[in-house]
Amino acid sequence: MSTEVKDRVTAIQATIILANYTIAAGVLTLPRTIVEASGSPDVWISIFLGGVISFLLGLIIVKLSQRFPGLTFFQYIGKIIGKPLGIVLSLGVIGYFLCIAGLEIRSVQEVTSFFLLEGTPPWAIVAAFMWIAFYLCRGGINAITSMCRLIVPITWTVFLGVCLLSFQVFDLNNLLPVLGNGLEPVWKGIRPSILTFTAGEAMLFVVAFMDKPQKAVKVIIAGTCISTIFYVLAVVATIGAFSIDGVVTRTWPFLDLVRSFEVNYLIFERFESLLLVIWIMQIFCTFCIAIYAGALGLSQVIHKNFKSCLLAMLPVVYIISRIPPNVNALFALGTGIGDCMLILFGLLPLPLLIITYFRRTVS
Amino acid sequence: MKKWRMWIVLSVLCSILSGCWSSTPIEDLDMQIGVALDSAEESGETGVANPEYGNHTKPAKIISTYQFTIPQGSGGALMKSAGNSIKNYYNMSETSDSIFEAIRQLSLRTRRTPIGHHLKVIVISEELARSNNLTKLIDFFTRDNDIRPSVMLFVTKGKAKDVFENTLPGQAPSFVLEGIFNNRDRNMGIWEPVTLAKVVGPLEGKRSFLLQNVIPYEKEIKLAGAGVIKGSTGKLVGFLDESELEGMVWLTGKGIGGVLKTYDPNNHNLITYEVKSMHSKIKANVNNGQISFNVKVKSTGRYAEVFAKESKKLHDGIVKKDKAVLQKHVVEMMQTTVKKMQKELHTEAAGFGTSLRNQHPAVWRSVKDNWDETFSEIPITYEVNLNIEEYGASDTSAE
Repeated sequence: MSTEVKDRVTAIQATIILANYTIAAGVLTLPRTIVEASGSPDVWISIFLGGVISFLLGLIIVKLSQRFPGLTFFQYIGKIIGKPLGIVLSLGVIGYFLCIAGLEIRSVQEVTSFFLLEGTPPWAIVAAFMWIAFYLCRGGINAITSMCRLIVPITWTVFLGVCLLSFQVFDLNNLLPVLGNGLEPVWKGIRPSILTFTAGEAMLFVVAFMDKPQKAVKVIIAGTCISTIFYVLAVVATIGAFSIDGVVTRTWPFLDLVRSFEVNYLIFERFESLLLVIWIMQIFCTFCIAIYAGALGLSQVIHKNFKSCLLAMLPVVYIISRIPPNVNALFALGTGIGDCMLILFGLLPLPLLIITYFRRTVS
Repeated sequence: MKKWRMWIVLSVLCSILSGCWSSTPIEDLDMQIGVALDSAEESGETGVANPEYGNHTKPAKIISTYQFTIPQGSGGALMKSAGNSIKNYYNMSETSDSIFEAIRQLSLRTRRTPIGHHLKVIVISEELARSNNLTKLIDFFTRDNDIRPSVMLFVTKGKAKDVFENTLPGQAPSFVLEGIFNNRDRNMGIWEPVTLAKVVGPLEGKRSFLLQNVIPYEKEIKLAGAGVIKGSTGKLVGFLDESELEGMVWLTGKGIGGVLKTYDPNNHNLITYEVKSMHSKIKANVNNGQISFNVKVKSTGRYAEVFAKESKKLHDGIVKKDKAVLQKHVVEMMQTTVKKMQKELHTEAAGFGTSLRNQHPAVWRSVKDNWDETFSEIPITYEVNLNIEEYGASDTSAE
């Protein structure tokens, strides 16, 4: 049975998976969504706070998963709240992962067909993406890990390089004054930043694959730190270039940041194509992890072959990705998914953990 | 079985490797390098524009002039102009109230597709900028997917179209305009390059800013001061001339290098100081609701050219005296610029508001809606500290 957990990942590999899963299409729009919500340049503080909250939520999930070594969420949920409820909740989580996959693939398609491959039909972009992801996910968690490890040096270098290069359009005045309007804008910016931190839910199944599950807390700390650094860098660089007034007028602020400078006497003069190509790989990682999680969940819930479940995911994801009729609806879907995440992985795990705790002590 | 698989892979590869889905050969593309925007109602003479000009409801027609490159080596397309010099650009104009429509009308006239990836500069005429909100004029350029936010903006006294006609042989005006910012370390009449990315914020946040003014000058183009865009209206309100722009550069500390020239008041001898670095800090003071500013400018540099009646060793006393004369001149330049902003343009574009916002956020919130008017009454003090570090290769003065 391929539903059995037989693959193993180390703590470092798990961290890489987690970071890759978190950092995705959100970075491209985060500077806008977060400034729209807060209206102040202090949003980088919101991101730090969002990171802390996201870590706490992830911590609960980790603690929950650690109580059932070697089992994924879909396998142990029935033991906590009973089989029927467990199946319902599992299907909810599977649906969530599918929506994430659909959202990511649609974002890739929108950005790619606007900035990179104007004229290429959307289905051609999406199809290539999906079939390669299918091929990769068939190899299981180890294949995904290898791929993540392969792209991490490239994407991180390009990302950091681009942020450094954008220093030439950076103006510190755009980030001042710090806390000029008090703390209120900071609170307002927390919600959009948490919505972008889709981290903890990956731990629902990653912990089961870890060779040393007791290290899972370190994994979530490291993973959240990495994504926080990325988000803060992206937001600070973008606001520094455009000012908060300018950021809200840009649909894809981070891409426009990269488009807004040219570098002379370096191999490349402009970096948006490079960043976009690299970022597609980053989104590809998130996409693969999401459909892998969805397919894994489905195969464990209905006890069917993993690869057939994976194949069954693809049309569903494609349909989800086609649902938003325009870019506005796409962003609305993103926010909606974020809210679902808050309910599914923000509110639920704590009661589950408490139930587990009492059941254990009673028995 | 293996062979069967290989054939599938080969046939798939054939379709994938045959190239990009929506590619166009580069020979079939027309690269836009510059756009000049003029008002279509503009009369031939370049008189003083009427600020009330754009009040009629009918959308003003805009003449968009697009500058394209003629790639080197495409021999047949080379155009010979007077004096045997080779022009490597050509201009096409269209009139419409929509800039997008104008560029698409070009497709009625040329087979090649205009592409905006390499657009470098947008020049807007005074008449158009005075009567239209800049947000409207640049909307197409900021919305487009090919045109990058790194495109530089200029205004021009007179016709924008004329700017694109003037250049040295073998150079395209758009590229000259783009490259001229490399001279910022040599002349302080060059403001920082203002790109589309840098204007969307101020326009949205209703902050005033400067755009470099470029004029046709003999057979070339020349940077001549800057136009001031008023934040509250998004329209051009006036110009700073070359020395006023220099005053602005000193106020903001944005200069990289350049010339500071003055005369010794006693003997009218020339003193020229080459600016090597400068730094300015605007301190906002609030006393019982009374706002005042103190501008502190620091600069280091060297003697570049000094005339004196008889040759003399430059000892500390002379350096000190010259320093005082130069400092006074800098203060005067800054005062002229501030006076122009306060009394004539009623627009603050030097970053005083930003300093107040950063240093006294609460006070700023109470005055920001009426900032330009408030600023007109604010007293400003200046402190300039020049440090003449060296005297060049001669330690005596000339003549």
